[in-house]
Amino acid sequence: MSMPLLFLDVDGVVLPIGAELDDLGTALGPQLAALHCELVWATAWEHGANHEIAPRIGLPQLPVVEWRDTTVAEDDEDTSFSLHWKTRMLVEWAAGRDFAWVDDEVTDADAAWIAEHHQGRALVHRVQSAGGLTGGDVAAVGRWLQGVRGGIVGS
Amino acid sequence: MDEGAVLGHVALTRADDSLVQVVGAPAEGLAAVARLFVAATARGRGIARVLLETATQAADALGLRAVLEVESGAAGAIGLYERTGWRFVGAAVADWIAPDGQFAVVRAYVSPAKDVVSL
Repeated sequence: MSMPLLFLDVDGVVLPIGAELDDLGTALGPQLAALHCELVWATAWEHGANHEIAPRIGLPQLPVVEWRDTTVAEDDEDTSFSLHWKTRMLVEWAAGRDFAWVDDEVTDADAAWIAEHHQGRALVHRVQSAGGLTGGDVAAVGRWLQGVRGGIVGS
Repeated sequence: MDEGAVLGHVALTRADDSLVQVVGAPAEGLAAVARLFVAATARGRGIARVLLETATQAADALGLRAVLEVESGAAGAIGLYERTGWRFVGAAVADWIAPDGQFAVVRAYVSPAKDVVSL
């Protein structure tokens, strides 16, 4: 079985709102790298996250979700379900693999839609944008990953 | 097929007070992208991208920074702006009612800086 994925947002998560690139420390990367999962950038920075963020926080180069343009029907559905613009593309990218997603803009609507459309298990974890990803957030994701590993269903 | 047909439009206007406030920069230096619209039959062909780029370049040519606001529920438009490098700078409650019956929340964006190499 392949490891679960962890989709990582940048703005408001790895990079707290208002923080500059130079404010980033090297503590977060190793904490994330220690999780039992495959880290994937899921940010509008796309490959810029590997160039600008990864080296600053002590992460290796990671796979990147490359966003595609959406169709009219998808836009309409996203709006009617109050989804985040990334949600459906992350479900596509995961292709059934278990995944956790940390983002400062996700809501219960995204979690519900994912539960309905994704074959694997998923954790949708909202981060406070002003503070960014905290040790508590990483621990919460870590506990969920442990549960997945142990075969415990749920989040 | 649709030669000569209007596929979409975009306008560049003065940024209104609420947008200026969220952006937090002097109004004289800003130009608001407005009325970005693509005909339903012409969507999915990257026309919105082209219109957005055209408006941004027109603002640049005037020495202005393009800004815009978008209703917070418009995931498709928000995704397009963020994927093309527009930077979210803040949200505000608008003075009009969204389809859900609540006051709309609008998100403000600033165009990608020309002097920053995009990755």
